[in-house]
Amino acid sequence: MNKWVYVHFPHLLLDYQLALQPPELTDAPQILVTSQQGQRLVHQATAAALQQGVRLQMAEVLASTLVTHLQIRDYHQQQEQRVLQQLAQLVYQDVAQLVLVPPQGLLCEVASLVRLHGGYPNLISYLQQRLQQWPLRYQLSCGYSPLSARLLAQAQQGVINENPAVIQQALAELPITACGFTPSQQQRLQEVGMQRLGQLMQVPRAELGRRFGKALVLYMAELQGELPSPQHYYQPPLSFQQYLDLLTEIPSWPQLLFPLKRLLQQAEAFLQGHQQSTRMLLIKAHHRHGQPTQVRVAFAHPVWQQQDLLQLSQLHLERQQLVQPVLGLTVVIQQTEPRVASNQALLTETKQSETNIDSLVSLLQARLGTDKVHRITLHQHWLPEQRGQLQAWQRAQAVQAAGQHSSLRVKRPLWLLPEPQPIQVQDWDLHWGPEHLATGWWLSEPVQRDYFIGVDKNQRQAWLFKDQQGWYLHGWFS
Amino acid sequence: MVGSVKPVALHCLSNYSFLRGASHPHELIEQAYQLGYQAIAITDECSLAGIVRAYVAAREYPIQLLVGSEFRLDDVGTLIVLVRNKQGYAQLCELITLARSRCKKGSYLLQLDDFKQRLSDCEILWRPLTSLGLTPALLALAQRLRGLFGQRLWLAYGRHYQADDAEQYSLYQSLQQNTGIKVAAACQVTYHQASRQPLADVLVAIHEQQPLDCCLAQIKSNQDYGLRTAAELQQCYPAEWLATAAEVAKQCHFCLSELQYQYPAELVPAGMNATEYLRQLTYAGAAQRFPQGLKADVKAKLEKELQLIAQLKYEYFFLTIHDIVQFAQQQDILYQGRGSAANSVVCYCLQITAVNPDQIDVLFERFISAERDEPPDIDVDFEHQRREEVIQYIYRKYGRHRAALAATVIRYRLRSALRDVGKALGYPEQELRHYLQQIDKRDTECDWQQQLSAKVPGLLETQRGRWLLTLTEAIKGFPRHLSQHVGGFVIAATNLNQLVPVENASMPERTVIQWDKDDIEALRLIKVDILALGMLSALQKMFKLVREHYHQDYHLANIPPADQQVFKMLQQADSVGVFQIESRAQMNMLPRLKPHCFYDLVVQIAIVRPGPIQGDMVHPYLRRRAGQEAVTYPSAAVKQVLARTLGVPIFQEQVIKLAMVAAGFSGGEADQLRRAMANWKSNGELQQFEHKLIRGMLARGYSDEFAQRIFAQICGFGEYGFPESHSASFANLAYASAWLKYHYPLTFYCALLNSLPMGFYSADQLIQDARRHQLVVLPANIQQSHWHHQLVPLQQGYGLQLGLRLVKGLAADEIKQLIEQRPRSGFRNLQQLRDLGLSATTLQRLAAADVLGSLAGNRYQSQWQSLAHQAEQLPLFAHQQTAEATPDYLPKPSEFADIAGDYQTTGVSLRRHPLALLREQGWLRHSKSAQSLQLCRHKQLVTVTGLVTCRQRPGSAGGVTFITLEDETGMANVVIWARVAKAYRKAFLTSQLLTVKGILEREGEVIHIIAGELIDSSEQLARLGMQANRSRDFH
Amino acid sequence: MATSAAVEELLRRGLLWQGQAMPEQQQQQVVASGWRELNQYLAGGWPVGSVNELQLSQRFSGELALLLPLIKQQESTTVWLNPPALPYAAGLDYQQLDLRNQLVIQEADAKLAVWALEQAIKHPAVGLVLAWCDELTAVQVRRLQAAAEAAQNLVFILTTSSTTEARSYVTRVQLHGVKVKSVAAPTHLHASNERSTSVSYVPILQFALRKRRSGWPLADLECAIPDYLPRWRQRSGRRLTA
Repeated sequence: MNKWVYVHFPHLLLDYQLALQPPELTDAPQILVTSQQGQRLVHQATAAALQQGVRLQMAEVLASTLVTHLQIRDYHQQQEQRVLQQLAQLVYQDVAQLVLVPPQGLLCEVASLVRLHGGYPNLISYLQQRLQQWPLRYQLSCGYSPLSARLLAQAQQGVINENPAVIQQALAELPITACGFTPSQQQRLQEVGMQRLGQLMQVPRAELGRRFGKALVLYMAELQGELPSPQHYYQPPLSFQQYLDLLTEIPSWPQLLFPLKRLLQQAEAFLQGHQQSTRMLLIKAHHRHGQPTQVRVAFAHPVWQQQDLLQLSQLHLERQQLVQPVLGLTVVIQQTEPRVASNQALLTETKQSETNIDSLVSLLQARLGTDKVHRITLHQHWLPEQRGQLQAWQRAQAVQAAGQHSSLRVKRPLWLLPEPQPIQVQDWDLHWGPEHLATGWWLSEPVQRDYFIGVDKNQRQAWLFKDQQGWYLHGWFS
Repeated sequence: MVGSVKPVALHCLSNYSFLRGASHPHELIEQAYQLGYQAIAITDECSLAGIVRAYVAAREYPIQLLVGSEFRLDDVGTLIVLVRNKQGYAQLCELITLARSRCKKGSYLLQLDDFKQRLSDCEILWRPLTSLGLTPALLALAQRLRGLFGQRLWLAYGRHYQADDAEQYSLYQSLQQNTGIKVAAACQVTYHQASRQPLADVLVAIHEQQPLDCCLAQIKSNQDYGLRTAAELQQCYPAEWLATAAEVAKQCHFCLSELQYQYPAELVPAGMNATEYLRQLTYAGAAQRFPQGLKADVKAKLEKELQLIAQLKYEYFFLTIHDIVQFAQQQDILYQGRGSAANSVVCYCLQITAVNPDQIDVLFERFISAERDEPPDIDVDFEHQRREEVIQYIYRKYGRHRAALAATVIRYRLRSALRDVGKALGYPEQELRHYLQQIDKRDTECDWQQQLSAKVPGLLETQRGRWLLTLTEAIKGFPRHLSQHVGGFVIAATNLNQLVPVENASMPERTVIQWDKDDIEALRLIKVDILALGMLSALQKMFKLVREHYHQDYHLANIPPADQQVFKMLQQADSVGVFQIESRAQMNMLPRLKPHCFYDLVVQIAIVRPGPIQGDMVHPYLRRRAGQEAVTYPSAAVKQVLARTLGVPIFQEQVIKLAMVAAGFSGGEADQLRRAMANWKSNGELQQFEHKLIRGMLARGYSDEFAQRIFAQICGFGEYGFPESHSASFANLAYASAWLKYHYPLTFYCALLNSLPMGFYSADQLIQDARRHQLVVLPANIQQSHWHHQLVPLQQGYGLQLGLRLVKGLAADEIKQLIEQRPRSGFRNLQQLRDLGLSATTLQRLAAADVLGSLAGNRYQSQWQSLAHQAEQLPLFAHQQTAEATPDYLPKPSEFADIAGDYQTTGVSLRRHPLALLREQGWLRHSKSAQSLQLCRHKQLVTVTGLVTCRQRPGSAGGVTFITLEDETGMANVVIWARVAKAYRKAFLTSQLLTVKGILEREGEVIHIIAGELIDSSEQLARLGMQANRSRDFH
Repeated sequence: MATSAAVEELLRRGLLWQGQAMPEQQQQQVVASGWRELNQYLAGGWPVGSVNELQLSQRFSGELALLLPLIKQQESTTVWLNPPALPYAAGLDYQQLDLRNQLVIQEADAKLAVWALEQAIKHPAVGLVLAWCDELTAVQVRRLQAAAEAAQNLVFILTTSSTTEARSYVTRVQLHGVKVKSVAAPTHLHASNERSTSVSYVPILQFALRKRRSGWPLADLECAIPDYLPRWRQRSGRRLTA
């Protein structure tokens, strides 16, 4: 009985992207391109493109001359990997023994499922029906060994049959070029006249070994299923979800703190069990009717202890109001990350028991809102107002010290006004300047300003500039 | 304020500081003149590559050009060296050569102590690194520089309105007080006008290989790096520092015109001067060239030439070339002088050229003219496989310090310009490639900007799009880097690197001067072009084979001229392999022109070129030649010029003579016309000649219609007008190769095959042509073949034994070494080959190419056996030794598989042509064979199928593509109009086997098929299991 | 006036307080202010664990220059609460100040601002707090002072109000802006070419100490703050042409 099924998705990434596009776009000819040794070749193509003569591995330049307004995008391996993961999650609901074969294949061990689905044909049709949910072009094939199923599927010669003999017969017909051989192996086989896999199968293993080396002998053994092929099966990712039923209807958040504390206790146990911490907490308050109100609590740094979770959630909840009384409470944690041992300095002075400023930031952001807490950041930009900015505080933000561009470390005021203020130049006594600033010509509004250092009647030193429109105050030196 | 002194610019970078300067040298000079400058220094970075262009521009204006160069040293800052006098100039050239010699092309290396005891005749301006302020280290460095240069050291202060101007100013002031080095005002000029700031920024972005937004730290923040007016200078520099700058400029008074060129002296034997020695050599040569004595008019020409050469002192030039040519003769290297030299009788006598002056009417003014006073330009072609020997001879004879190759400046063209500017402006690679595809460079009416804005309307709406167009146009023509001229040598009497800096070329042991051929011409230096020509190597091999097998001693000079059999062969367009007249277009012209003498060949070579085609001279000439049109000349003078070409101007010399005769131009003016013709598209000088020409002809009584036609023909000539002297030299070789093809065909094909890659046809096409001439060609095999193709004796006559060199991927010496050990009776079995040390991979390649047939049966069997010992001994299977008998499961190769195998491994097959098999299978029922087309009548509807072997889309053909289809009987010419190409786009672009339905057009024996429908029959090839892609596409 | 043993004893136990002389043994922990004259007036510098008030007669007249030495020497974080304009990264970086240690809070609501101020003072990772606010009640100041003392932090409240009501600030300073004094100096820089006398000008901060731990209030004080500010030059009002 052929206990392996292989599903091959020739245009996985492209089909997935098509599914996300609006319908009228999907019939436009599109291709994904990869570059091998400096040559850009077609990797995947839509049906429309194939129909107008585009072939896989064809040069991109030729393809774009063949099809006039052809949409060309770059193929990305990791994106396709992620799509395969999502697909595996879907198929996992039906097939426990599932193996990911990047970049475009799924291998299923189905022997155990035949009885469940009552016979081989029902099993296969069930699988096909499950794959229909995704508009992906695919090729399904059975096989008595993983390699045999894979070869038939990838060569678009899928065989759906229980009997191994039928598989054997289909394999014999496969051309040498579609058997996964290396180019040098393939050339040598062709030079001795082997065009079909069947011819190779007739050669006794001893002769095969003498002529083509050990690699081919192992290949044949794997193909015939004589070698045990250990596969590592697919494991789904980790997440936590806990629901608590409240005995009485609770109208406002503060009274909800007590049940929340219990739920967060279990969350801490889950995180501690897996040595994980999280940055994102989802709290759902279920009402008698209608959708549950959802409160998303984000932390600036990964936490796992219950009192941290509670303190910060409390601050978030105070800012929300409850529209209806609450019957039940759910706490969900989706993303977790491995816990990083924070380097506790051994001999901590009296003051810095917790050197990390982030806990203050989390506290302030929770109470005041994330847009109230800033860093002072320096940017490589020629426009003064872009050069120094206030940016919302993120934890792992590499602050770019201007140190290394010594050429950019020039005399500048300590303060900058958010908006330059028009002034009367007569009130000012100009001490230094002009510094000509005239660049950014390649952008829509290039700028031409002459900057001066001027002093007002109260001896306050300021940063002034003149442009086509007139004189402005832009910053103060103290 | 001190009296306003006329400003000077001491530190200017031209665009010969690659990717730094944003203006051409002449733009800087013109702008400085407009602003009333007294002097301007062009100081490119460790280079004098742009100085000659600056000198040529500066000659036109009353402004002093200071010669100098800039060096950036890591811990010192920038040193600007300005040359005081001729010795100073030589010192600077030597320093640059030293700096460049230490690194590979494009970079240089200098330390401070390289400046010891050098540059004693130069002024040095120092721009220190001041970011750390006035540190003790800076003061120490200042003292050290003071020690090195003494009074010739100055401080260069440039104010560019930056935030730290005040600090810089006071630093320079205190430096001057502490060290006594006087400060001179010297802006750092990187462009002539502020409007060039965008281009300067783009150059920085290209250098950093980043879009503009990512190199904000590197680009300047304002547009104050241009030339300033006197008023602006007084505004931002103290008068004292401006005066110092003028004082520095006053020290320098060197001009490039002081460089005279002395020729290598050792060529003239002691006790004689150059003129006498040249005369003696010339007459010795004349005795050989004209055994029956000199005719009066030839002697007169000889004397006139010798007298002019003596007057202009060019004797050494001829002696140098004579010496090189003598070396080639001793080494039996075939050579031929060409170019304007072919117009000189002296060169013919000195064996430099092989064109007998009375075969073509010689125009000596074209070679040297007193008026022009420019050195002659001689190119000498050598056998392309032995040219390196000539080059090394020159290096050996004159030494590397006295001989070097001229440079060629690689400049931005449209494609590279749009790509680099686009990337700087942040456009993605794909989008730029898309834009480039929209532009048809050959469309002369609207330029590339109009085409692009028409095809991509959105582009011009954005600011960035407008900048893309303007900056791409601006950067076109900017130098990108120096590379080496193909063969132009400059030879000096003393050290070359005192005349011009010398750099390492990219090729090993090759050195290049920093000037290109225009610079050399501008300074009247001598350049000798050592070029390579494939056909010369082939001819040399043919003569050797004829001597060896037919015991006849022929060489270029003694081939019987005007052999009518040979001309008859050419008139039937049987010219595959013949030099210069083997292309499809030439083959179509031969039956119409029917050449029957040497001069006809000279015309044939020149006439199938874009110049005559665009000038519409081909048809009138052919009609007059066939007697369908009366040959008329508007005047006797014109008749004298155009008689040989039946009143139709074909050659460049004729146009010049016409200008002299019909429009009264002097020799020099006529030559300026020729030069204007050569690049009329780029600078449009031709327009001012238009009035002069037309007025001159009208004044001499020619009709306006004639004058307009002549001028139109001149414009048509443009850069394609072919000089008669060139055509004559080529005609010499064309006739020789045609003669050998007729009389000794086997040596002809064997020599050509051994000289590949060259010419127009592949090995397979040459072999097919040989077999069509009933020559016996024997396939390569291990028992008979050598490395090269050979002639082998048969029962009667000779056959062509193909060599093992045909097999792709073989190492020549491994095979040659094997063949030396081949026993007389041949090898017995494969094992013997292995014992002789043949590697396994070579054995497999030989087996795959089916050359081991005699030892191991068909190609599958020989491959099977060659693999036998290839796999390492597997312990499990070692004991089972099976006999070498061929196993039953090994298939027999079909004829298709064999043909495919041949093409894959050798590119050649002596088996049947694939089309023969298809026709045999009945798959080509409705297609006529190429041969049977001869019998079809004009305008008949025909269908032809063949392998696409050549696609040509010549610019002058207005969008028409010529395709050649090859089948087992021969080749068919197909003409595909743009309309049809568009309709059958896929078949047109991708098919290897093409079926064409169209109308046959016949003109005498010349047959074309005007394609109406294209069908891709490649899958029939696939059915054969063969992928013969042998199309040679020339676009 | 001979001090008797009893007075000595009182002094030692810090119960007796003398007008001028600073009792040595009471050497409070202080942070140097970075300016010579100010350190003298403050007996060494700003007391650690203190909330200090700077009353500005006019914004941007030397107050940040005054505090800059303190900010520069901070290893831990400095918190800026409601600064009157954008602390400009390019200017701060030019003065070699580590931007990574600066945390800026902008909160319009006064009550929330004070809450944030208190959280900042209490947090161990914060070393210095600068807060711009108009009116703080005595109760709020007392709470902040207690927090600062507990966390041993240094806090400055910069305000434009000139109230004289009692507050539990440790130090209260009234800033009256900058005056320029001319001083003979070696040659001086002039961008234009006109010869000018070699004289240089030093900025002097005018202020009064209305309250200080180490002694009586003092008026009309001066402290030169030349670093961090562009040089002055005496121009006869002639504007440099562009």
